[in-house]
Amino acid sequence: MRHLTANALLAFIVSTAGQAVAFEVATHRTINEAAAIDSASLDPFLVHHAGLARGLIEPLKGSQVIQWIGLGGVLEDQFQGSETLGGILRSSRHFHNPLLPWDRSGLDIPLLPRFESSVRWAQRADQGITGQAAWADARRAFFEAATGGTDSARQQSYADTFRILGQLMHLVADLAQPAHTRNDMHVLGDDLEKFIDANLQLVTGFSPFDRSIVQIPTADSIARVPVAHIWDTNRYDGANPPGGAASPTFGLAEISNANFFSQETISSLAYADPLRPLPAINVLDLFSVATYKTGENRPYRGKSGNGIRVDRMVAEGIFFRFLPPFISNFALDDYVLTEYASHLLPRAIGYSAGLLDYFFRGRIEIAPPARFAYGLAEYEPGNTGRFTKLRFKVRNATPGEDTGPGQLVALVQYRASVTGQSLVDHPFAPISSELFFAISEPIDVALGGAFQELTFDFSQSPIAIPTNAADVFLTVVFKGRLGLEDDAVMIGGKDLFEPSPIDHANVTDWECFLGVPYPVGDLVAYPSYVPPAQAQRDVNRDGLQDLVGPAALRQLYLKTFDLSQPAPVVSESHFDLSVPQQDAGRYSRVMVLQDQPFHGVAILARDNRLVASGTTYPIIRATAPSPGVYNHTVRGLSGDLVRRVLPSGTYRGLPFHAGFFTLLNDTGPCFDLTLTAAPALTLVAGDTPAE
Amino acid sequence: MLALRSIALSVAMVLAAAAAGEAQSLQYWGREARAPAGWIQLGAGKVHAVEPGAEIPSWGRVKEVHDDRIVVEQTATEAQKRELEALGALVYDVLEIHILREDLRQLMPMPPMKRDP
Repeated sequence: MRHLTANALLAFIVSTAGQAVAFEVATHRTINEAAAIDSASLDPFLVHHAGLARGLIEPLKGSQVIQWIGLGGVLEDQFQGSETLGGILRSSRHFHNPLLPWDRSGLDIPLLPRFESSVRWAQRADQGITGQAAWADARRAFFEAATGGTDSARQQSYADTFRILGQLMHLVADLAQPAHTRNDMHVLGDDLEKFIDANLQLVTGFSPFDRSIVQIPTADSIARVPVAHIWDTNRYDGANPPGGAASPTFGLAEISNANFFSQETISSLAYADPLRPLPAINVLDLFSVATYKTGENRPYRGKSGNGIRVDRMVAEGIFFRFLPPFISNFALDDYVLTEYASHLLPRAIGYSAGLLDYFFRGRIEIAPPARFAYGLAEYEPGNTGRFTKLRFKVRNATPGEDTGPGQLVALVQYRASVTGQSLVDHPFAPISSELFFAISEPIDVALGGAFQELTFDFSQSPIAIPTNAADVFLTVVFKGRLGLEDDAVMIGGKDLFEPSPIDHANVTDWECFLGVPYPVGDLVAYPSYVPPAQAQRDVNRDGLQDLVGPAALRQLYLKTFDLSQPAPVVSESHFDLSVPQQDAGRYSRVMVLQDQPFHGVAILARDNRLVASGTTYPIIRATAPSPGVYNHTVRGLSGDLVRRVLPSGTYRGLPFHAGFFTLLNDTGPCFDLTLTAAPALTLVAGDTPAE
Repeated sequence: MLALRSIALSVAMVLAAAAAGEAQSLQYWGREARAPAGWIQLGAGKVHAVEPGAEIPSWGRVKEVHDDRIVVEQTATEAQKRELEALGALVYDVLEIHILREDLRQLMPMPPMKRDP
């Protein structure tokens, strides 16, 4: 009942005050967007780890990432679209006095119960009917986004994540408003807020906090995640106002409380009020006299000690010198507010950006497995195969923070061929606007700082990883303890190259002699050389056999490898594709997922013979570089969407990207003459190794 | 004894020459030593140098010339975008095509084998 009465009274106060209970919405939107841009890690994180190729301008449910963050700054003051209701139900929790214990540091209005402090509100597990926009809610949305099964659900969860983060940034930005840290409800509006809202060009600069402050436990039962120290490090005790080089080691509430007045809290005597001991008029000095825009000369008092140097802390009112000392006649005029803004807004931006950086600080590094290929799949006609398992190395790469036990999940996002055409055969075929997601079975893991190689099983994923995929991006998601934060979520990402066909073709059914190709695979036209009865293989009639093909290759193995490493010894126990026998005019293909722009391919053909004569042939070993295949999207310099394609070529009806072609002697120089020769190469299947 | 020519199987690592739809094949032969230009061959035509900004018929505008590749780009027209959208396909602003250098083709002859029947 008391709460009901309290809320009714507050409703009256707020409705009287209009919407002036925090920075104005335009200011919050601008601060949030500036912080998102200035965040050291957000845009690179989105592009390189989350698979959002356009970063801050990635569209999610119709709005860009940066717009969702800006919108969050607006929505934190609203409920059901109303700022009046928002003022009652949310904005009243946007205060924090750093000189009080956190269970009593919120807005305190006479006759009303004390409201919860913003430092706790930000981590309040249940924010009631006004919606869920606390740290844990952002974490939950982030995990759902990172593991979302559909493009639509993922977009919504990411939008929710950025909107909630924008709401949390709103709380941080409010700490740069002294009224919010000095228990000044500013019922009739606040000049600083109105002034900044009318001068949004002042929302600039960047003044971050020292990152060490979020590496210390909080000891609070509700605000347990150390992000709370962005608010308050609990180091300011009233006698050590933050200033100079040390100010970044304090929370933003401590800085604004200790260094700046709010309109209704211009204290006369230092240390007279335990909740606002500083600044105070009696420790200011006359710094300057300036002609104000109204024409009169105004004395300005400033401070060079007791924290941050501020040249214009207050202006003396026009009647100052004629009023008795118990009547205050100081003003925070536009010159004063301009200087306040120059100190406070860069911190609002810097500390808000720091909240984003802290949220996205977790890093998982991904590296190729010892075998090099992340995924191997046998090629199916029409490129209809799929990868069922991926293997790669992971480690916690978060600076200075260890992870505890947790669960790791891998996701592969990709675009599909809209027409169903093979993207090897038709690399320019339209690809889907929709992203698809294959998700692995979770793995319980203790993620350490050293790489460990894991195999992720996608065989139960409702969405497979097709070999016919474009814009392939791999993410791993860890949920568990990170540093001092329980239930943290970390993401590692890797922009893999598209599934690459690695081919070996036996093209010994065509053989050149003196620059002319002959179809020696036709054993009727070119029977075994038994002169003089069968001398078709002595083309120039000089008594010597000129043509010897075709050849049959047995025990053929292909292996991909990292070009920075020595070429592997390919064998029957160390391969990516094994082909028992490959006759002339046949090709074999393995589909590979890997992460290098160029990688090596090695082959071994152990048992080879010339078909017409039965002559055996030495073991064939060869290595060569092969390009990574891409068919993906990137953000252009002007923010446009670029589709980047590496085209394929065709040899004897076989579209391919790179392949080994085993030729007969002298065929190399006239290889191009056989580009369209018949018959078309046909597939002979091989086997990939068991995982 | 019948003397035979030495024979060898050789293995050619072949990188795909470009082919896009109905366009003539485009081959890239490498970058000019001093100028920011690259040598290309369109179809069976002569090899000639192109600089960034040059138009290659049916392929697009040369965007970048690198040692190992030439990059051409096509800006999607509004009609093309509408067509893609109607298909439910990704609507991009620019199509960027990377053509690898032709002489990246590698021939690796195997040691010839003397055959004595």
